[in-house]
Amino acid sequence: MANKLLLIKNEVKYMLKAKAIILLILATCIILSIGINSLNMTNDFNLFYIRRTSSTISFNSAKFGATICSFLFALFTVVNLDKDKRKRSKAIIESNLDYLNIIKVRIISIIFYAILTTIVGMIVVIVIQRLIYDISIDISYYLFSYFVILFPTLLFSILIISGLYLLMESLDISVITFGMIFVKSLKSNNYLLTWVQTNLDIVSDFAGIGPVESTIIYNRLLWLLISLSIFFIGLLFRRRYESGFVSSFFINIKSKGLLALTILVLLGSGFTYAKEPYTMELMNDSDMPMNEKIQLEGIYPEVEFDSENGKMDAHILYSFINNGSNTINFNINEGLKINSLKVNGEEISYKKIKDIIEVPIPNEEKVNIEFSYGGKVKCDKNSVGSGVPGYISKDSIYLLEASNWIFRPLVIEGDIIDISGYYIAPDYLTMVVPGRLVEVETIDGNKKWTFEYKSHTADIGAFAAKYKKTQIDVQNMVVEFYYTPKHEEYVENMQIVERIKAMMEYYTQNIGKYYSNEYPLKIAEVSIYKRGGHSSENVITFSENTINRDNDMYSILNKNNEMEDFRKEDVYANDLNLIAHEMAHQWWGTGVNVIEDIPWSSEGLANYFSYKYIQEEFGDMISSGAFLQPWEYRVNELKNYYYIKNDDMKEKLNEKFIRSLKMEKRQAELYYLMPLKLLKGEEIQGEEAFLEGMQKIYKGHLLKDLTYDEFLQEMNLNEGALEID
Amino acid sequence: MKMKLENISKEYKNVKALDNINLAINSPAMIGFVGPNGAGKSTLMKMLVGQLLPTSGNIIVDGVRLNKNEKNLKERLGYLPQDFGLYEELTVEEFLDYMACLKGINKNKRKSINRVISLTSLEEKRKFKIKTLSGGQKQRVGIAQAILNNPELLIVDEPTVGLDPEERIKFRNLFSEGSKEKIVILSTHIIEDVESICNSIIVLNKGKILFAGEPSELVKEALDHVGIIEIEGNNREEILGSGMKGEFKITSTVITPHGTRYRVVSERLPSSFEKITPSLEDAYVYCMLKGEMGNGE
Repeated sequence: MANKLLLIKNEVKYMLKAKAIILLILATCIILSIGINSLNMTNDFNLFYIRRTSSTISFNSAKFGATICSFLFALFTVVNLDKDKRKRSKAIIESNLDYLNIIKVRIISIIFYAILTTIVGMIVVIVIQRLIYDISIDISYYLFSYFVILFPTLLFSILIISGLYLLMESLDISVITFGMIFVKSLKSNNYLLTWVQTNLDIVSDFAGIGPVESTIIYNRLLWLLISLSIFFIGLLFRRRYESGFVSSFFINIKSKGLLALTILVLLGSGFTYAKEPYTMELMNDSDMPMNEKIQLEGIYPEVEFDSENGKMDAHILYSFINNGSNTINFNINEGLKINSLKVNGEEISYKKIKDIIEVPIPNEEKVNIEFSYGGKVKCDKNSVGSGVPGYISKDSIYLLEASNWIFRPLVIEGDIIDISGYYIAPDYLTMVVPGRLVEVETIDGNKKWTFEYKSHTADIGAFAAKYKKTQIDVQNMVVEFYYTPKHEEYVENMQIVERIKAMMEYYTQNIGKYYSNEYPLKIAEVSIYKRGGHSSENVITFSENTINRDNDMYSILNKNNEMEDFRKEDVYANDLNLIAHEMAHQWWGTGVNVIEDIPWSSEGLANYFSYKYIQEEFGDMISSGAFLQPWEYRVNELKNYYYIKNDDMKEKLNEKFIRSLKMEKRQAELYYLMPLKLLKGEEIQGEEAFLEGMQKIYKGHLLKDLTYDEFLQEMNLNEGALEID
Repeated sequence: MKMKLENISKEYKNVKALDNINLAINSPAMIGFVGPNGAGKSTLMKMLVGQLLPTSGNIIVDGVRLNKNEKNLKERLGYLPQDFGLYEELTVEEFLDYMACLKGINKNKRKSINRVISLTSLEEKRKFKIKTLSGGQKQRVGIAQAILNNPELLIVDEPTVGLDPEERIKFRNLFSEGSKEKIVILSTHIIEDVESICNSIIVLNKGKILFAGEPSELVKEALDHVGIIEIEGNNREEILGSGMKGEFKITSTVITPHGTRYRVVSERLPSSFEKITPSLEDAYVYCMLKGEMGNGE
């Protein structure tokens, strides 16, 4: 052992003499420093000018560094392993000790330098943060970013390329193969495969690492096993005694320990991949058949959140009207285990197929189903990092209906669904409940938030954080604005409250009165782990990037509130548009139930009206550049897309690609084509007349359905007239 | 140290590089491996240092099979391969320091390095990067690393290639002195090197041992088979014609004022030849000739 340590010391010493490692450390420090601003260098407009904090600086630098330096370290490793072959020094070196020891010593030495580089790089970035940006240091973010993201990536690179080199005994082929594994990681949506840079775009300032910590650590664990597997396989095929690939394998396989370790890590990798506990494939409800013989009448949730452990316990009562069905299917979340299930008060057994359960029901008109379930909510496999539909963490809770945290009955919904119940959460969290908050009780360090609601959909969300709540009174309407005190300065300086007020006033004036006097509109900031916004009934959410920009942004509002910096103005307009879009859904979606008939949709209407608001607020130049032109570009792009133009060619594509193509096309039609059609209508009729017509439609269809045909008819338009060239 | 080679054979795609080699080597010994290119010398050396496995047979070191005891052998081994490279970006001293660590030399490391630098006359070059050295100097660095741990078994493959005559003599003496208490195996084309220092010679050809014994025994075998003849004018074909077809080997051709003097090795030396005392080189040539004729038969 002492001798091994001396060998490592010796290798470390002479690696340093070769100078390449010094260049590598220097390059890493420069790359990490550049990485501090990496968000502003991407095409991700939403992340431009994000406020610099320890979390963003450490994460951005580490992620950027991991992406580039993993390749540099891989090259350094393979060049080192190939050294004796290149220099014809292997025979001399090998005559002194088993060459396996040399390989191990070299790899350990490179790992030592990877640790050293990580520490040095971290210190450099800390110094830059402190001295140049004058931002206080939160070391926990640095330790996470550098020792959970950067260093493991370097470690995996070293092990993977070593394994590949030992397997292939060729520098070129091993680098090319490594490159393929590297690119796969960069392009994958599956968080399990993103070993280089992880699936995260940014660490949330709002929610911290908590909501995504487990998945990142799991990814690291999986890739530790995978990279060790590749390395051990490489060792099994390490060329011995000038023998070939197969002969060497039969010599190496005699080492029982190596064989056992290889099998162990291979099985471990397979098991870890297959039994991944945090995600599932969440199915879209719109793809599922709804039981039209059953109508949902009410949901009564009683939920207790254990945010310390990321768990929940729920008792949910559903009431249905049965018009002759024997079963009701529920779409569930696989992370939540059912403890009991009663139908009309009697315990009953059920069938489970993946994330659908089939509950047998009696042939009675009124059917009540009670579930008791609990556990940790799983999120969608391809949404980790930027599209998490549900999580429970210590400092925040974000549960969208799309996560099926409230099991979703696959039945038709009644016109009005009675929703009432309560959420229990730790008392340091403020919950944003749907509908009307009836009362808040404090019980043993928890708060019980009771609410009630007459809803038009079965969509129920739960959002909680250490919120600051600001009440905004607009004419006779009440808006509750929830945001983290961390972003209060930005909210004040960028006049977010005033803008929300302006949006409400614009919609009230140009569409009509807010749909309810009873339920306040609740606007809540949520973490960036679910990008964008969401609207369900009277609650809208928007991701934190909207109000967590750098204070450089303050400069765009001068004393006269006039805008001056165009790129920043675009960012600001987009941020406000996000809130404006979700708010518009309160009119088109909640107020009027828009019956989707692609491209006709509430999304198109919401986009049209948020665009109108932005146009009024910021003028034509911003609204056109930031919205109109990108919409037109996207619609044209998809229209001219080869596989869309040549429908018969789709048969040649794989199912996954067709699905993603369909999804892209659908999104473009809903979000971009429809508002363009509405603008065409506006062009035909004139803005004033068109908006008047929309007001009439809103009034006439308030709390009712609205189809495309009804819209066209009532607006005196026809489909052909709205065609976009 | 005792080494025993039992029925060692090595085949490469049905070509026998070594064919049933049996050999016993006990220390002290200074052994010269000689043979033409492709005779199997380097293959055998690689096996002795544990870098190549025989297709069949065993190498036994101190009663233990080499493949079970490689670590032990490597701790006692010094090896200079025929074709080798060094870490050219390091200085001579740094390279030896690096190698000393690989060889597990912890105590008196500096002293060991100084010793081999002195033995290989590299004092002036100790701070020079290896890439700045000449071929001969690099060869000396190779030798220096091989003797750094004062090995019990020193195996050197063509160690004097690239050295000037003075250096060659010096290294021959160095190996010879070292062999007083250890095994030194020297592979070479240069018979003079073997003649000067080896107490044992092994002649290899086409993977087989043609001779193994003391050099004097090899010389003894060639007695009456080496002669000289001086030929006037262009009569060479007439007198040596049959020799050109395989019975003779001309080992030396000297132009004299009276014609040309040939030194010839032959199984059947004609009476016209003046018999002379064979040198080791003659004896080696005779051994090879005999081997070839034996194969022909």
